[in-house]
Amino acid sequence: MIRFENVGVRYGVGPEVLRDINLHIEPGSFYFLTGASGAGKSSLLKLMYLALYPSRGYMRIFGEDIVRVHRRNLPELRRRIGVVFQDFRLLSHLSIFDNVALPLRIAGEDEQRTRNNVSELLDWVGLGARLNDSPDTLSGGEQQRVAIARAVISKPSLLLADEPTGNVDDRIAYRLVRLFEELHRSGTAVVVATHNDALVRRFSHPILVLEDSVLRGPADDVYDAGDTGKIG
Amino acid sequence: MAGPDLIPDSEGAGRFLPWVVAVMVFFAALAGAAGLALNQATGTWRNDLANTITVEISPEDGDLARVAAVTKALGETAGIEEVRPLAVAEIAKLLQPWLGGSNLISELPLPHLIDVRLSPNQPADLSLLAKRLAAIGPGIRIDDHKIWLGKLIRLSQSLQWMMLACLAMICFATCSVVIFGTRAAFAAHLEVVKLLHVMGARDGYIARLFLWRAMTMGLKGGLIGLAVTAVALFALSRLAADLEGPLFGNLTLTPLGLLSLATLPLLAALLTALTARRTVLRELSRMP
Repeated sequence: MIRFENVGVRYGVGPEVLRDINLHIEPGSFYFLTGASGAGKSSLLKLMYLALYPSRGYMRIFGEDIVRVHRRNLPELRRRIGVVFQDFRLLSHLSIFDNVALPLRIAGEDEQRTRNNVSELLDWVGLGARLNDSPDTLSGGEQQRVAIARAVISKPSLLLADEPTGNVDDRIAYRLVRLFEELHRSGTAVVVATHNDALVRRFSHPILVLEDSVLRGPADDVYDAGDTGKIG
Repeated sequence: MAGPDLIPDSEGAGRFLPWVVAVMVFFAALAGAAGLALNQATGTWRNDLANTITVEISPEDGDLARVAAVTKALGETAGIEEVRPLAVAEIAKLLQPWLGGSNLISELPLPHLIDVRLSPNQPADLSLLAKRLAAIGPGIRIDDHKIWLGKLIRLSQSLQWMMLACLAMICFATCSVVIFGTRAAFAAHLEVVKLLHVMGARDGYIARLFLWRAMTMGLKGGLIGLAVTAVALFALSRLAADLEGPLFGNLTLTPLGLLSLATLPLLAALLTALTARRTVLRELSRMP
């Protein structure tokens, strides 16, 4: 699904924020991505959700060589990736319903199906009664659930979450990861970036550790398909 | 796209655009109206004077006999439809704008003038006619208005080119303002754009959001500009109606001309929309 070989990233003429990244994520896998603030977790996720090109190296996502693929083909690849941002990035001028419906509308999905799917998913995350409210009226945890609903509404093959537990307490953080596990069980590959080591230790998923811009851990373990052991 | 407007238009960056477009449409409509009116007037002057000549007989002794002889000769010439000697009172009236209505005119040695209308299909040969009239006596001259009309038409055409240049500059200025406004709106909504981009929105999808927004503002501004132009043209037409004269009487707009001015808001909306789309596509091309 994702294969990085010797990938490096630098912004402008600055130093590399990611160096020699070798990574292979198989369909249906679940990884935690940890590291201190500024270690490059967000940059690595940006590479994965195609918001950033590598400065060097080989990068393949869904079988496409990202450096060589034509720009007009990237939107189709992006639609197969769901992203949950740390700051949620909900559009406050839209209702909760319209926020969640956005990926389906972008993909040109039938409006009636969109209505049914969004209503069903918002029921699932416990916000079915607040379809027409503004995201600004929700608590942090509720906004997080809307953001997750938006990320998974189009049934992505890969779900990336950037510090999804950063703004919630431990109890809600645990429940959020359980929610990601539910999605993982339906076949979606999940990568959760977090610096909450205590939370990570409560689960038995493999861990990718970023230290000083380098992905640490036995590379072979990371490359092993379906690896469920911890790394690092 | 079904659903709500993803780009809210409450931002300050775009609020001024309709007013700028309104001003541009106002100037464009004035330039267009002037150009169209001049074009029509030129055509009218050309048609009115193309088949007419004036025979001028200098004031000398035995005038009446010479006028009668010239009138007779003109009447017998093939290719002439009508011959009409102007009475002294008519000539005096022509000079009134310069000399006033005093008795001075009657004391001046005025030339005799004969209006001649040529046959439009087979007009008389003017060089032959000039020779024939010269044989009657000295001081008889044919004025076919070509020099005067030529100068007038050249002036009119120069003015029309200037109007076109004005329209081009107005288009250029409008595009520049739209580019500036669209870039500002793009920057103001960059987070929304980035989000849509990450979700897999195509460039055309995002550009369309700005296109519709710009088109709405362009149309709104265009209609305001047209309304102000209509008031201004109405006031000008009332002023022009007070001017009695062969030149200004022709400065009116045909229904087709008015219709073409009425399309200006649509053209402004189209120009605004396409410029905004192109600007957004250029900005998006810098994203991965």
